[in-house]
Amino acid sequence: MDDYLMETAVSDDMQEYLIFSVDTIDFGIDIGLVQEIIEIQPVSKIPNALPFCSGIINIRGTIVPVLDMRIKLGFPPREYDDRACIIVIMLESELVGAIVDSVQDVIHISAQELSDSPAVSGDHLNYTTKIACVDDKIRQILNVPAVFGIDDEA
Amino acid sequence: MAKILIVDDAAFMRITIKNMLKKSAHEVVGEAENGKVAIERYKALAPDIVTMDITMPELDGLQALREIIAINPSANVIMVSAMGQEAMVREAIMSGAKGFIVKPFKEEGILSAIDKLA
Amino acid sequence: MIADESMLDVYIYETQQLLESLENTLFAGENDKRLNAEQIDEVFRVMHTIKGASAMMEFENMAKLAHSLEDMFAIIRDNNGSGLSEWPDIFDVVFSAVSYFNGELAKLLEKAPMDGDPAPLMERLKLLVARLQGETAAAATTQQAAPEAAVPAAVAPAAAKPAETMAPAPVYGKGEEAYYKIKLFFDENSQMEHIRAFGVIQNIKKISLRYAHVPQNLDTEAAADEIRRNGFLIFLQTGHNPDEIKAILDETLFLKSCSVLSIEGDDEEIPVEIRQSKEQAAAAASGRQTEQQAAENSFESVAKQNFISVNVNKLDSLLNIVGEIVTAQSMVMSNADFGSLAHDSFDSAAQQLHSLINELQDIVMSIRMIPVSTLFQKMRRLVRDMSKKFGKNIELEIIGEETEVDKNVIDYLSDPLLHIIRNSVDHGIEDPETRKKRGKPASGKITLEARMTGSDVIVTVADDGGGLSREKILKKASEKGLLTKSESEMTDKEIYNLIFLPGFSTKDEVTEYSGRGVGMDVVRKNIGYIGGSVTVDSEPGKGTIHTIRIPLTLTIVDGMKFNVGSMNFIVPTVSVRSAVKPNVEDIFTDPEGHEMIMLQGNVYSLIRLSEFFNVDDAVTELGEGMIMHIASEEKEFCIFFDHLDGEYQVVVKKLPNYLKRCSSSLAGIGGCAILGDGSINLIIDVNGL
Repeated sequence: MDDYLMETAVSDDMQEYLIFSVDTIDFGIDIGLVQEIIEIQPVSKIPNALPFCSGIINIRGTIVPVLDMRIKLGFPPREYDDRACIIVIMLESELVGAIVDSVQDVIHISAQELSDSPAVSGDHLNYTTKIACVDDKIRQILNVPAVFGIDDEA
Repeated sequence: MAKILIVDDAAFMRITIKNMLKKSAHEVVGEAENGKVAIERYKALAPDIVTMDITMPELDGLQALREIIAINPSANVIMVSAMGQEAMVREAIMSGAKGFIVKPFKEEGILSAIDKLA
Repeated sequence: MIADESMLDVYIYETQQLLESLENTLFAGENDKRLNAEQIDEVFRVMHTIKGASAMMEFENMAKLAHSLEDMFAIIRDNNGSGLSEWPDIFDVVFSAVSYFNGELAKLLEKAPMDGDPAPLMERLKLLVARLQGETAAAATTQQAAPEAAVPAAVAPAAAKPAETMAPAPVYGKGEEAYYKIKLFFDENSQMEHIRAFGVIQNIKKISLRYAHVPQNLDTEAAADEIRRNGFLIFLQTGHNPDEIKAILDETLFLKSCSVLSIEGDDEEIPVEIRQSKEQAAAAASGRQTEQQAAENSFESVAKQNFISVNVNKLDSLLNIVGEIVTAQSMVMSNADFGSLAHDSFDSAAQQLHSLINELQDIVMSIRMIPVSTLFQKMRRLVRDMSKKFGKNIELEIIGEETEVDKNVIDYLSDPLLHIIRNSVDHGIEDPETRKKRGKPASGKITLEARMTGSDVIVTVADDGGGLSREKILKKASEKGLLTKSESEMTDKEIYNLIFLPGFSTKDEVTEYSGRGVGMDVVRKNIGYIGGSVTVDSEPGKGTIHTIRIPLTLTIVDGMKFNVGSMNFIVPTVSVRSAVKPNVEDIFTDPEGHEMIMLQGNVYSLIRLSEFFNVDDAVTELGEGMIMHIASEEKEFCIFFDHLDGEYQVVVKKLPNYLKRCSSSLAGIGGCAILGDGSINLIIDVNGL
């Protein structure tokens, strides 16, 4: 075919995930989306905020909306301690922060270690579509478009 | 076999390059997320080859390149550039970069570049 | 492919720029009913670049279409482009292609699937190419200019005008050293071949007395393409032997192959500068110095650049920092710690700092200024396409396109202008027959003008159409309950400006260009975001004029800071009439349950911001808070808030788009500002309250 068409890059079936916990559950998020992890800090409230939105913060001059993952994922709210932090991810070329209870580490998960999430009841069931079992621990892989609502109409 | 230092502010790119080099005979001895750290690591690790991203916070790839060349005029630095950075690549070459690769690149691309300098 | 957001941005940006300049070329050409050789080259180059970039991004439809257009323009170029009867069709198809590309890019920006089908366009192109080839063949036989054989033809463009493209190489050898010809190729997909060649030259330079290369100009993507196709040729004169040359070349990354051939110094193939200088070198020994000087100068002129392109985000941060410096400065100057002590030397130093900061601010603002020409040219395209569609004949006159405005203004001005011009074409200008009946020239005219006054930029859109209908507007406004005064009390101008009110729209039908259910209120809202205003005036039968007024320094706004509970707000000072502690007895509730306040003999509605914005930690006792009297061109009312914090100069930032998903309503918020202490303040959109 045309010489200018690049072939798709060789895919590597290992992917890196950032593991964090909310309540008693360990979640994983594709590290490629993560821009940085910052300490929990005071947020400025926004008008008519929906329950899951804590407000906005100023990261080096950029205004970043911050979501409370406890509420977003359907856990009871709690005062955050100093282990809590904000995972800043890039969504549709904008930064969005997610407050989580704590961040664990970054692990490799291969495609073989991933399996479909068992059907659970509850209104947030499509928030994790895959689970990974690594070193005898279960990690739920976050379905980012579903959690952050970027697959539906804004 | 060469010792390699990967400099890029994006974790994604560092991981990608590392993964690409995993299967080669070369060893990634260190990573740096900005130019400042890159210079420190260069001094500490004395790598054979540096892959250097251009746009980075703190100290960009061009400045880091110049500092490294000042430390070791025959340092092997490969710039990792993207479309639209032609002018900066030009400057990098004038400043002593051994060459450059253009994102997106494939495994054989970066390997061939590194093999050549190793 | 490795997904890379920044690459995507670069791709979108670059492609948009290319399409924009392409459109300008097309407009220029359409006036002459053809493109000249230079313009044909440009279209070819643009298509080539879009093809390459799109293919890298794996946007195959874009790449394919660009490829087809590139092919067509190669044919046109080879045929010299003159006297083709197909020009009108060529213009049409390229315009359509530009629309297609822009459409796909827009989808890409919105993360929508790029699902535009290029097939109809490709089909048109195919037919057109077939016709062109017929014509080319005919032309070739009549002119007896048979196409050149493949190989020489490929070299021809570079060799065609050596005198212009070859800068003379430095002349300082005696002509004794040997001449070599190097030909090298880079790996496929190694990319940016022109820069790779530039790198090779940096190394070759060190060992050469003289050198020249083909392509000579390594600044453009076109050079990369030529190198990909024909390889990179270097001619040099050096005392080093071929093995040494080869060893140096071998260090080049992504080198696929290279050959070093020894040649005679007067070889025909050697670019004329090097070749001739062999004899000249000795003869002109005396004039050598100046010649060398000239040569060096010409090299330097290639290397020096007076313009750099800067990511606009960097300018935004720069402006932010300047804004913060301005704020911090006022905090220092008015610092209470100084008390009432006299401190002359501090004052004079502070005064100097103040003027320096002002100067800095001016410079930063001026860096961000860009001419409105690009925006205006976009309108040209719109008018062209729409007039065709509606069977109207409309001329667009553009005045003052060199007027410069802040980058942000362009972003906010674009949609309102599109909207107003759509209206003018669709509803303002009559069809040719009606115009004739009214004794007007058959072709209508829209004048788009930008000009600067002391503190504002004024953009006007005037058409010579039928004008606004006073009666229709009044009827509509009273139907929608938008009239606040009786008809007899209103001037014509006041009536015309009713069209900007939310909920007013005289267009029932929705066409491809106008309408879409969006009314003129959106125009006013958009202009309002940047602190500007828009008005309309009209003369029945003669036409309509829209006047948009935008402050020059829109991104830095003077504002009053106040808080409602833990939320901080800034309201633009221009809208503030007064801020007072309320007399509780002046506040009452009307029969419908709305709170009203009596202020200086007038009654205004009172909006409690804590309720409007749903703030739970705000003052609720009227006696403990404050009242601000606010007025804009649209309305006048009062707000109730907690506490006034003083006046600030702030830099307006857009709210992140994602915030819309975090709040049930952001009405009344126009943007935000970060103050020197890092705190975030929301900027009140007065018309949204």
